[in-house]
Amino acid sequence: MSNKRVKERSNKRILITFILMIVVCGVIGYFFGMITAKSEKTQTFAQTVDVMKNVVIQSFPVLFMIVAVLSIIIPTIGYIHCNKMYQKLQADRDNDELWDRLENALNGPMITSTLFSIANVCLFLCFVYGAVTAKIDERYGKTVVLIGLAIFVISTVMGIVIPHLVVKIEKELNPEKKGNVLDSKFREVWMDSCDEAQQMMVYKSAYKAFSNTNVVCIWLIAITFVCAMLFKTDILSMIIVCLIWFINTFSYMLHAAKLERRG
Amino acid sequence: MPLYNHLKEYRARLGVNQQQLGAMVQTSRQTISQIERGDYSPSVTLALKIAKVCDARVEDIFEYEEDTDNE
Repeated sequence: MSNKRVKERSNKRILITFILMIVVCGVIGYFFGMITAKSEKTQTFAQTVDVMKNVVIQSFPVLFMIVAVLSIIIPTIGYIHCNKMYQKLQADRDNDELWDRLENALNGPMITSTLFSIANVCLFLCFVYGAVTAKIDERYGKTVVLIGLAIFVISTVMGIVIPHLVVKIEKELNPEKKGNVLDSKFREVWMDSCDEAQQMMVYKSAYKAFSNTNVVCIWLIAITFVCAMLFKTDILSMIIVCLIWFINTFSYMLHAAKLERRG
Repeated sequence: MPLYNHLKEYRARLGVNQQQLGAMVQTSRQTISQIERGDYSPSVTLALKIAKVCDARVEDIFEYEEDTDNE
């Protein structure tokens, strides 16, 4: 547990920081607006945006395939490394240091596999969007689209297999742990089999994720707003970010209030 | 939290590994490891269970020191 305590800041300091932030944002906004207004007049800005959009959409197949292939390779390498450590531990079960290292190493394939799965879904949807709207298949050929589809299926399967194998090792190391990755109630079952220290870890991580999501949402609202103004990306993205922020905060407050009532 | 412990020495006296001690007090090996490293302060229930298994008092295993940095 961390010994560091977060000190409360004075109202004066908070106010000064807030005013400074407003001034800085105002200045940045002013210069951004000025540059946009000037470039829009010459029409070069709109053309540049169109070219950029086209380049981004056309690069989706390449980007998607690179990420999909990496999503298969990196977590697999991580798992093989963990499996080797696990075999080593079988011969030396009293080696606490090796045990701790293995538990730590197991986070690698689990984290990379999960993150790559999210990136894969995002890029695959962009790829499909590009194929439908920008006729990517006409430029790259139907074979590339089919290869992309096959890679997506393989990487999705690996995104399930790797966590399953990691959880299998984790369960062999800690027989009290329960849960099947393929089960939709995996998180609940897993959490239920965790002891107090592990549950505390989950609660702390969840709080950190909640705080970070709030900060990221504020930045994303600003970014999506600027994009809507500059690149005419429409305000839907900004509304969706606001919705995520709302749901995140509302569900946190609702559950906190429920727990408070329960005492 | 300024909580120090001598769990490792007590476990060595018992002649068990972290997993075995975890099983004896119905907790995980990871938790025992975290307590030994000082990364986790156990609940009163777990501290009492550990003391019982080690045949010692809680304050023999866990030491609390006043935090002097706290203003």
